[in-house]
Amino acid sequence: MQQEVVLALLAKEPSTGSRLRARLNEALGPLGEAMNDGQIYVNLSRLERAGLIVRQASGALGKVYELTPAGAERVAEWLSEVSWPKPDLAEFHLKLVAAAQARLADPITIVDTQRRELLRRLREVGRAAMAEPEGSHAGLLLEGIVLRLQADLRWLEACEGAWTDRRHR
Amino acid sequence: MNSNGADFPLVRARGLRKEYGSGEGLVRAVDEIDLDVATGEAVAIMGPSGCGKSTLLHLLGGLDRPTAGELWLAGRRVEKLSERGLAQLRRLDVGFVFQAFHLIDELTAQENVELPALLAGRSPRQARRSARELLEQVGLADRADHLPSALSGGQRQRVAVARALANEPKLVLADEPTGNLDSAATLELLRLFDALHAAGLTLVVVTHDERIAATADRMISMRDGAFVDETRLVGGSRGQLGSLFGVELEV
Amino acid sequence: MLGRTLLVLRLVAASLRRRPVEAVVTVVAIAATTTTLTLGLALHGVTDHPYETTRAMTSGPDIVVMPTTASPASGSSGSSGPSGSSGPSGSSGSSGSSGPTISGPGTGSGSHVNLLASLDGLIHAPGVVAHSGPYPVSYPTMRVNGSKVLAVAEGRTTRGAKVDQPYVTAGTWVRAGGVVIERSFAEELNIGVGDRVTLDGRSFPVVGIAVTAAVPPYPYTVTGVAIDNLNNVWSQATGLIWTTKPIARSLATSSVPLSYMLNLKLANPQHASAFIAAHSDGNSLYFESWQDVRRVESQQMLPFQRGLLIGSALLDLLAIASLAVIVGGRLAERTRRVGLLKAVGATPRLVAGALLFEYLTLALLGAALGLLVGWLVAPLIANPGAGLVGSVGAPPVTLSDVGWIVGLAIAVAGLAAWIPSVRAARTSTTSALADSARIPKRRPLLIEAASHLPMQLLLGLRLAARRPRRMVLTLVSVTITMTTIVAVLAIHAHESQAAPIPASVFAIPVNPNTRNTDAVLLVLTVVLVFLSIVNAVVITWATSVDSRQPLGIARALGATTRQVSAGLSTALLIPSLPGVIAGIPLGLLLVKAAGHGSNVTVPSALWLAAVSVGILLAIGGLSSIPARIQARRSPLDALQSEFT
Ligand SMILES: Nc1ncnc2c1ncn2[C@@H]1O[C@H](COP(=O)(O)OP(=O)(O)O)[C@@H](O)[C@H]1O
Ligand SMILES: [Mg+2]
Repeated sequence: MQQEVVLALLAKEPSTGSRLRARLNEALGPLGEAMNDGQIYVNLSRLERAGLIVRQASGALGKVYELTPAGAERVAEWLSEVSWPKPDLAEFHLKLVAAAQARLADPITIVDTQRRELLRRLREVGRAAMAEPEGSHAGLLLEGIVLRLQADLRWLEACEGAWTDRRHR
Repeated sequence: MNSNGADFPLVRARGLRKEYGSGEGLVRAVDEIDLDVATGEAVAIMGPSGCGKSTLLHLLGGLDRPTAGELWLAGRRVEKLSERGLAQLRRLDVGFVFQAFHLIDELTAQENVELPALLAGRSPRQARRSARELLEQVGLADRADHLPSALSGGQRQRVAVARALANEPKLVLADEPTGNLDSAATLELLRLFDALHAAGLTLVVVTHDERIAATADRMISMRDGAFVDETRLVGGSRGQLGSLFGVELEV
Repeated sequence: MLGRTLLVLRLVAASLRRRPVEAVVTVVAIAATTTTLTLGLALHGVTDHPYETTRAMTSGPDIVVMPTTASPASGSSGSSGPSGSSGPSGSSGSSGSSGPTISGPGTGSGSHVNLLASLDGLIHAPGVVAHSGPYPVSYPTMRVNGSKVLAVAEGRTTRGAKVDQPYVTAGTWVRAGGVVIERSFAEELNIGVGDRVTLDGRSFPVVGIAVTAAVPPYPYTVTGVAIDNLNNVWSQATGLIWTTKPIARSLATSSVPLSYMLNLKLANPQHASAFIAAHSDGNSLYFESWQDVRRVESQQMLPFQRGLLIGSALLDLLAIASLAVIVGGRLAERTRRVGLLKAVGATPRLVAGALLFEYLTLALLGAALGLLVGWLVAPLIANPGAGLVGSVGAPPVTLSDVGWIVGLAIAVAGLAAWIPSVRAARTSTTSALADSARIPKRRPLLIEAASHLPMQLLLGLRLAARRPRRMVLTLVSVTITMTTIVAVLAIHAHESQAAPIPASVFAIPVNPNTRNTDAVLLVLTVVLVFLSIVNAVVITWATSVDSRQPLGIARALGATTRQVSAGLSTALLIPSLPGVIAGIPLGLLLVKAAGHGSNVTVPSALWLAAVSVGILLAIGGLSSIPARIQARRSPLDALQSEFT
């Protein structure tokens, strides 16, 4: 995740590192738990060096950061960017093709193993989604992951069907 | 809960078979299925349309009789029961949730939920009280006096779940319960099922929705009337959630 | 165009194949309605002035004149004819009173010449435009088939007469040596053409059967005759026979001498009473006007006509009830079907066309069936045989009747197809598919109170309360059925109370008209009860069709067959009970209205109770049949059929 995320969060109001951390946790829910505080502070100091944020007088709770005009401009730019992660299915697809052509492994077994793994993941994310209170930001993020996984599972189903057909031919 | 010793499963099927038609047109909707469902277990059955999922569920719930095979529910042989015995089984031991809801149009939500209790011979007062509680549990206390036609799909399905629970059944069978629901309503129902499962209810769910299947303890794949694959789903205690999907900042 | 026609045909065929029972019940219901209407129309024909018809067909006289003093029979003079007698409503002179009137003693023994001279004077009286007779009349005792009765033998020529030429309904008119017998008399004694009757010991062949408008029918065919040694002749039944003049003369005896009968036709028939008043000099002549005859006849016909009137009213009501059930009965189901077709993209026109065609097929089939049955049954009611003096056998079912009925069947089909089409067109496709129950406005008190009832009653009550249209339909149908049966009971109770004719030397077992009325009533009762049963079956069936889904669900939830059938029965019995109760006063009211305010005999409480309970039991029993049929199948059938 890019550092612009931290920059954009500062657009609301000047804030301390720990406050930013809390807001990130709120938006990410269980998925934010893996993030450590160090990542935030490293990012902040890097942004400061780039002149995108400045440090205000230190408050009781620690250093308070604020956007510079250049920082605000960068945020606006970031918001208007259209980018989307590429679906990364090609690798798995090639794994199946290669396994079948070299007769190294049964693609269907590979699909099956993968499916189990995805189901396990789905189960975990699903659990997490159910645990979120209604209307939470984190719930929405989890829902997105659930739908992604469902899409992946359906694609695996299609793979299984197709490779089964090919084997019979 | 289990009358026949702790390790006897709540549901046991051996060589269960159901055929429709005859001669050229013979369809083996369920073909020699063996199944054990332990008390408190949640089982999901998945498979393409027409592979016999509904038929299997109907057999398990005493809505239909198998052509061959043996079936036990709570230690009792089901396929040998009389029509009356089957009715009693459906009334007391099994709760059914259908894709098409199958609520009675003429009865309000409350009355629909009361129905199984009344059929089981409980007093109207008792039936009413427990129906209120169930509707509360599914979050529909304020819709108790609405007819099904005045409820949304998700609400109808929740009423149907409340109805399935009315006689505190040992086993709840759900046939594509989210087939007619949108994703928000699906999540609602999932929460409900999960809570029921956590409270010890035994569940068999037929579904197209991997998300529902993933909440089960076991997932069974079905093709052409037979089980082709079984996955025991373990974990899910969020232990790996962070490592799998956790968000990190570029450093 | 061809493709669309084919599609409509295929839809209709599929619909009929999918629901054969529905199709059959619809045909039966329409057939029953058609039968009902056919009979109703036939009855209207009968009750329309039978006397006038007969009078026109036989050139009926305006006045019949007879001497009150019998002439001495040949070879036996000196006997005096002391008293004239008249029928129950015959009038002596212009008295016009109905009931027996015995005219004063005749003034000595008149001669043939005198009698004929006085009758001759009337022929030339002003106002008389035509006449026949005077014909000789004698009073032989007739023995036939083991009965002994008093006959009035009128001597006629073998040619027809200008006035009062009886209409021959069987055989031929009077021939030498043979006799013709008045129809009601013949029917009562079971005499047919070719039989032989014995008149005063002499045997004669019966050559014909005929009807007349000159005298009232048996047993009131009493002519104002003086027969001194036969007391109370007027109170006896006498029947009319026609024979040749020589035979009539030869049958006169010293004790019962020869008399005469003269038929007069006036320029203005309405002046008959005035004519009689002007010409009755003392008591020597007995006059009977055509109005007198008509009065006797209509009195005789009264119970019969009342029966027919009530019967046709009830038939009409039943027809309306079963039409309502046909048109309104499966509205819910048909509306859902229209919604289904619309959902797959059929235009409203196509949907309406398919529905119309389906109903038209069923309606025409039903109408044909109903006409056939009506045509077979109508004669039993419309031609009850003997007593109906005037009816000379018009065809019971006319071509215009057929036109009416077929037109009606088409109209019914149109309505049955049109209402759901319009409803489905007005409502959105989705709500037509759902065709949901009414949302209860507020929890009715009734339902609140019902929570103390047993489960089956509770379910039935709830099902019934949420389908108000169906409830009203059932209520109306059951009310009509009960009204019908109570009315029939009341008529029968009245009939059995009517005083029998006192026994006498001349044994007449029963008043044949009472018997005929009974026969007609019996047929009517059978028809009405049958139609009521068809009605009940149709209501029950329609309700069970609409209850298939809820009861199927109840079974899937573990309801037993008994619980399900009790639920359905309750749903039907709730509106049936008030219907049965309302039917009792309505039935009595109907009889009273038809009887023009005369007293109504209330059937015994036991009967009413038995019928009420019987109807309720029948509905309850009938309603358990569909539930039982359903019980033999898997509960899944009922659930799945909803969505296929
Ligand atoms: N009542 C029936 N009569 C005949 N065939 C049936 C009947 N019910 C189901 N089948 C057939 O049995 C098979 C399994 O149906 P079903 O259990 O409904 O499948 P699923 O629920 O998995 O979609 C299908 O081929 C279906 O056509
Ligand atoms: Mg299914």
